[in-house]
Amino acid sequence: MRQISGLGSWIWQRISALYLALFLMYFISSFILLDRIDYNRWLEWNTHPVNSILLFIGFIMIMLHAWLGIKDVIMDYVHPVVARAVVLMFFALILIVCLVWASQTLMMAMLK
Amino acid sequence: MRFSIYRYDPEKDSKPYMQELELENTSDDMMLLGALLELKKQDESLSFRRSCQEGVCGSDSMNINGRNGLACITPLSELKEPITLRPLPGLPVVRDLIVDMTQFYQQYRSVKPYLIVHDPEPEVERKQTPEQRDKLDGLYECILCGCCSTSCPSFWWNPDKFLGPAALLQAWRFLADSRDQAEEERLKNLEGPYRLFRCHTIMSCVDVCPKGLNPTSAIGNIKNLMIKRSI
Repeated sequence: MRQISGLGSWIWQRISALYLALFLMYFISSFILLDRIDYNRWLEWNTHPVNSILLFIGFIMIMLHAWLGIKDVIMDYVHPVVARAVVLMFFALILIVCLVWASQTLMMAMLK
Repeated sequence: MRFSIYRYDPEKDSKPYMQELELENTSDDMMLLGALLELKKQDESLSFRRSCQEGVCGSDSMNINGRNGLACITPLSELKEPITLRPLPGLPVVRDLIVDMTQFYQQYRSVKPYLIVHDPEPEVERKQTPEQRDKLDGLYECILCGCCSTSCPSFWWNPDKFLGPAALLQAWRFLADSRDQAEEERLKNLEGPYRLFRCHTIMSCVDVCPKGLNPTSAIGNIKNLMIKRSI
């Protein structure tokens, strides 16, 4: 448990940042390289087996990165235990909902 | 020269105030501490710490025009008027420019700033190669003035839990020492979300250190060692 909140979160913050930086470059460059973009091309790209897996990992990484960042800010500024727990749970809930929503959208696109 | 100095005597004042003071006959090569000593002749109640007057003891650290530094090695000619002097930020004020450094020293003490050796004492001294000794340069010179830790926002928010740059620099000073044998114990002492990892690489510590030391790089070295150890 101590590992997770100290060195562990510090390392994961960097791993997720690196993944997102690389993924974003790949993501943007894929669309620059297309001659035109329309809904079908967009759908095709996102539901490609490799892309959809990378995108899904991207969803997880962005939520993880946001969680570690907001947790750091809250640990710095929000000191009362109850207030901290409430604020942390609030953000955790938002991030979980976002992750479920994004994954569901991706899944529905793949089933189309 | 015009000065604006933070004044607070808890026995007399209900709250702190800024006092405007004037000093005539200042010379170009005068240091700020020299001016403060002159001002003290005008108003004896003005309180501040000082000792060696040459940047070695670290007693006269204060906030000078918004920046932490040592009064004795800050030339008056480099300062914009009115020269605003405040106590080091983030620590309880005892009186005027004197702060209570207890929290700072507690964090320093907690990193065990001394060699820990488990081997029996050798008959002669514990030897180091010149290369091993070189690793301590930029670490041992710290005078514990507190300029770095009290300029660190992370230390302001969590002075009881975050060690602060000064103590972390010393933690690395003993981790880097070839004669020390308590690496694992020292690293374990730095684990957890607060003690080391509240550092967000803001680097105010590097910016203000009057000895030109780099606590941020020391903290980076500790993290690297932790990663190496955990793999």
